[in-house]
This record gives sequence, C-alpha cells and structure tokens, in this order.
Amino acid sequence: MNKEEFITQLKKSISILDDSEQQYFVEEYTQHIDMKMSQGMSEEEAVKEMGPVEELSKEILESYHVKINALEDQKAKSIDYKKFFGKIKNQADKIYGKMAADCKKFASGIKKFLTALKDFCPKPLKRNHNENVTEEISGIPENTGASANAGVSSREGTAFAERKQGGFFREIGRMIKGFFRGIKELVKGCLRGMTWLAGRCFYIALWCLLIMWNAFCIGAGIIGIFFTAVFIFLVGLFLVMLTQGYPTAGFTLCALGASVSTGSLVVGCFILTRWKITKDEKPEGGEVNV
Amino acid sequence: MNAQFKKGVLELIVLESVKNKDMYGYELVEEVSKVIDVNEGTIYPLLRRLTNEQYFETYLVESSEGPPRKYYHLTAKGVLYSNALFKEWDAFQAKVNEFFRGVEHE
Repeated sequence: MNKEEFITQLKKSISILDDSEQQYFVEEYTQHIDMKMSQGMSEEEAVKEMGPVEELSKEILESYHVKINALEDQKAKSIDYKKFFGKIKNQADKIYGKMAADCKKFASGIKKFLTALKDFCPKPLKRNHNENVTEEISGIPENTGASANAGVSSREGTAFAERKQGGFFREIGRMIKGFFRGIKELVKGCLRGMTWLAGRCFYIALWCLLIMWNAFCIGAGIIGIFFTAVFIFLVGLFLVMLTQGYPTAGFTLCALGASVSTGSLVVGCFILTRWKITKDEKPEGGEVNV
Repeated sequence: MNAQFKKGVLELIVLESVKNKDMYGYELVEEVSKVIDVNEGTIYPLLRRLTNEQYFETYLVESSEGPPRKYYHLTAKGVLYSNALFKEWDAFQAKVNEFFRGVEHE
C-alpha cells in the first residue's frame, strides 16, 4: 500500500468525524510518512510501520468515544442486503440448474431416440452392400477357376454369409429394442420436463390464486367496514328516534344485528387472508397453508 | 509485549515525554518507540485526544525541510493530570510488584 492509498482509506474510515479532525490526522500521518521516507525508508515500509488502517481508524474513533459497534451494525445491515440478494440469486441458480438438467435429460432422450432411429434405418442398406461383396467374393472362384486361394475365400464367404444370416434377426431385435428404449427415454424426458414445468406453473398459479384470494378478502373486508359503519350509524339514528317517541325499535334491532354480522364478516375476511405457501421439497407439492 | 499493558501505559509515557521537552509528532513517536513497541499510527489519536482534553496545546514551527511541524506542549492542566496519573501508576506497579514478590517467596 502506498501513502496515497493509506490516506484515502483512512479518510474513508473516519469520514464520520468532523472535517477539521480528519484534516488533523491526514496532515500528521502524511508528515510522519514523509519524514520516514526522508530518512531513507521506502514508502511501503513507512506505511506498514503505521499499522493496519482498520486498527488505526478504530483507535481514532475510540478516542472520540464513537460507538464502533454502531458503525459495524450499519455495515452488517448492508451485508444483510447482500445476503438477501445472494439468496435470490442462489434460488434462481437452483431453478436454472434444475431446468438445465431437465433440458439435458430431454435432449438425451431425443438423442437416444434418434440414434435408435439411425440404427434402424441405414442397417438394411449396409446389409445389401455386404451381400454384394459376398456375392463378388463367391463369384471369384467361378470366374477364375479352382485355386487354393479361391477355396479359402469361398469358404470365408460362406462362413460370413452364415454368420450374417444368423445375426440378422438378432440385429433386428437389437434395433427394435434400441428404438423402443429411445422412445422410452424420450417419453421419460418429456414427462420429466412437463412435470417440472407443471409443478412450476402450479406453484405460480397457486401464488396468483393466493393473491386473488387475498385481494378478494381485503376488498370484501373494506366493503364490510363501510357497511358496518353505516349500520352502526343507523343503530344510533334509530336509537335517537326511539327516544323521540318514533316506533323504530324493530329497525334498531335490525340495524344492530346487521352491524354485528357485517362486523364479524370483516373480521372473518381478514382472518381468511393467507400470505404463505408452505413449500415441500418439490414445488409441485406446494399447498396453501390453512 | 501484551497489547493491554501497552495501551494502559502509553498515555503516561507520552505525557511524561512532553513534560520534559516540547516535541512534534514524529519526534514523540521515536521517543515512545524507545520504551515500547507500538504501531506508530496509534500515538496520533492519543495526541489528538489529549489536545482536545486540553492537556496539550499545539503550535507550529517552520521547518527547513518540508511543511511546518506541529509541536505539542503540556499545559498546566496537563501537568496536573500527568502527575496524578504518574502517582497512580507508581502506586499500582508497586502494589503489583509487591504481590508478585510475595507469591515468589511462598
């Protein structure tokens, strides 16, 4: 660390102090380091001799009876924000990772299906080609007459043909198996992707539902509050009229009953609001917390 | 040396050093470094505090090399404080030493 960095860091860490106080430390430290350097010490060394900035600033602040914990609390708060955003990021990464894994599975399913398909398609062509070759080989001795070499090649040719004949059905079986395995993987991949997607959608839908439900409850609650107020006003009105000799006893009772019922409706509405979705390990298992 | 020891006695050393002779920061740091090994930076907060508490007063003296130097001078209040602190220290260390000698002889 050079002098300038040291001073900048120091200034930053004691920025809570009055400018004149900051100025004092900046001047003294600068002068001290300069003097050290004029005596032949290197800048780095001179700064190092001063001690770590954190410790110095702590000591400076302590000498002003600044509560250092308060500063650290502030720091901790800002770190909490960091944590919060880190959490969100982690969650996003997790979701993304899961999605990527499912996409990969999906892709590998398709790949397996395609390989199986490829295995299935060009094999007969290859076989035709091989047959031509064996024909040629077995044709050679016929054209050039008997010879030891020809005998060998014709024997080889027939052996190959036999092997080929026996292996053909096995090959077909393998191909069909591969084909079905490919399809199976494809379906599995599709299903897995779809379940995941469905789970996510379900979860989001659940959230939407929850928000709508809460909006409904709060809306009903607010309307309820209004009606309750009106009914309470009516109770008062009818009571006054009753004391004036009007025959409003029935109305008063009605209004009283209505105000009580709307009031309980309001309370019920607010009780019924739900803000949490309890989440199982898998989001598709999400349920409204009742 | 134990950092807590240093911290406690540093103030007294600084006060006593300045009592003999007015000094500027760098000079004082060198003086203190003869006795105890401290981070050089830690002296300045102490100087500032003692100045703010009016035990020190400062004045500038032009220097042939570099900017003017800030000299620290012990005020009358500072002298009283320093003497009181020294008495405290003396009694304290005597007591502690006595205790240690007692433990040794047992």
